[in-house]
Amino acid sequence: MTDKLYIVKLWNTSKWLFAGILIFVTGQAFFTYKGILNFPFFPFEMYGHPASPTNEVSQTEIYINNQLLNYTSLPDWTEGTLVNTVRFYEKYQAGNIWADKAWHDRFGTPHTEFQKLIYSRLVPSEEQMSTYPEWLSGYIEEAANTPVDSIRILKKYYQYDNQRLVPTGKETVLLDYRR
Amino acid sequence: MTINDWFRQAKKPSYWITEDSPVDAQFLGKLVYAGLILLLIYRWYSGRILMDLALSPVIEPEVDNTFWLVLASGIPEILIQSPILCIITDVMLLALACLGYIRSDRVKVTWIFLVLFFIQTITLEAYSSSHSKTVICIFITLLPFCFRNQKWVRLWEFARYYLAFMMVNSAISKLYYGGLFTRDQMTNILVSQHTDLQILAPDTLHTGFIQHLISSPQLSNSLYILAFLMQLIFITAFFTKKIDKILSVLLISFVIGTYFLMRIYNLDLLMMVLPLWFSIVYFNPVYTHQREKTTIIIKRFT
Repeated sequence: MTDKLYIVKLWNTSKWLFAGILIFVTGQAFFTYKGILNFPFFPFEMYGHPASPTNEVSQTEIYINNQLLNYTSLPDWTEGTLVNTVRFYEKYQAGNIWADKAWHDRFGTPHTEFQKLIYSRLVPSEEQMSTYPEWLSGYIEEAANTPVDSIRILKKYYQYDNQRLVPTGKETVLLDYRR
Repeated sequence: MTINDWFRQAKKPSYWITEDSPVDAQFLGKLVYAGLILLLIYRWYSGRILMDLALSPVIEPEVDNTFWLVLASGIPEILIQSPILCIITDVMLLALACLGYIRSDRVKVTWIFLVLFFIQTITLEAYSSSHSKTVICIFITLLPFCFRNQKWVRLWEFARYYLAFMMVNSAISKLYYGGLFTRDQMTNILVSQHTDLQILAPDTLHTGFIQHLISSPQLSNSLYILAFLMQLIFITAFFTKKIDKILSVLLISFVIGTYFLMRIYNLDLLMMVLPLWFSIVYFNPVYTHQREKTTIIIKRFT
């Protein structure tokens, strides 16, 4: 009876494979319990947490040469890269980078050359991030197949009114760049 | 045996029997690598390649220790700073996938592919500030091809169990965290998920469909419950293989559904259809007179 169990068949096949899969399963269970993303151990929640109702929503709007860019029409990963890197840029400007905080919490300010080297590989410097507007211009130029002379990125706020999104008039300029 | 003969045989409503597991692994390998090539082509189209991200100044390892370790090694930095290396890596991955499709012995090719794909994945995701979970499906479905014979069989079975775990884990999360008991859960999700679509492309059919769902909470929340049930039914995969075909169809429907409802491209998840559809029901150990040969019986439930 027990011979039919996968775990028994695995043990009989290879002790190394058994150990490998056991470690994988244990790691998966541990990180799922902790709720921590740790490649290749992913917690698969898929919108399991309660989603609270919201009246006000924010939307990142990218204007290329003063024209609103409909990035939802771009291929999914390109759209994701645009939105995610802009979000990162916004957090960077606000001094709210998770890796930077985590580094300082764990190791303090990097002192030695080695620490500085590793830190620079995890958190971009201000000099590096200053190239972001130009990099983004080139990225959009390729993705949208259109010349980019200027980029203006706004974070606009909207409210629901009769199932329609209406601007509240509140907005923040995240980036205003002219080539 | 050509792939057409194999399909003809596989369609028969009886046991599908072959006498040599590496041969089975070859045909399934062809299917897996064919799926992989299609996925890689889609990734090129959608911009999920290093050459599109070259010189990106963004670095976001998030909370992931693996990302921290790999980034600390400096390999992703070297890659992203060199557009030529980016192109070489992207082309090499596609070439390795094609090689894996052609070759009969895929063990070395698969190892090399997985190592390179791992580095590409970490680099792509860190330098585009994203984290995709379903990429693990590519690793899990390819892993069996790093081994031969019985080890291949065990890992092929493991891939099926992993899929069941993913789906059941997601269903349990909806119960445990309370998403299933939250009023207007799906409506709230749709509102936050599709703000961009409603503002940037308000007149498309897809936006109309989403707005219809948002204005019909009963319908949208029923779809959430349906998704929960679809995930929960995968619990049967731990106990029986008799409904694997139904589960395969459900998995495909789930992927299509998540695209239309959430605009989430779970294409990587489709790779998991293969270990599910071609699940191994019975396996005989190696006979002494045929050391390298094993017998696999794949039962077709039709």
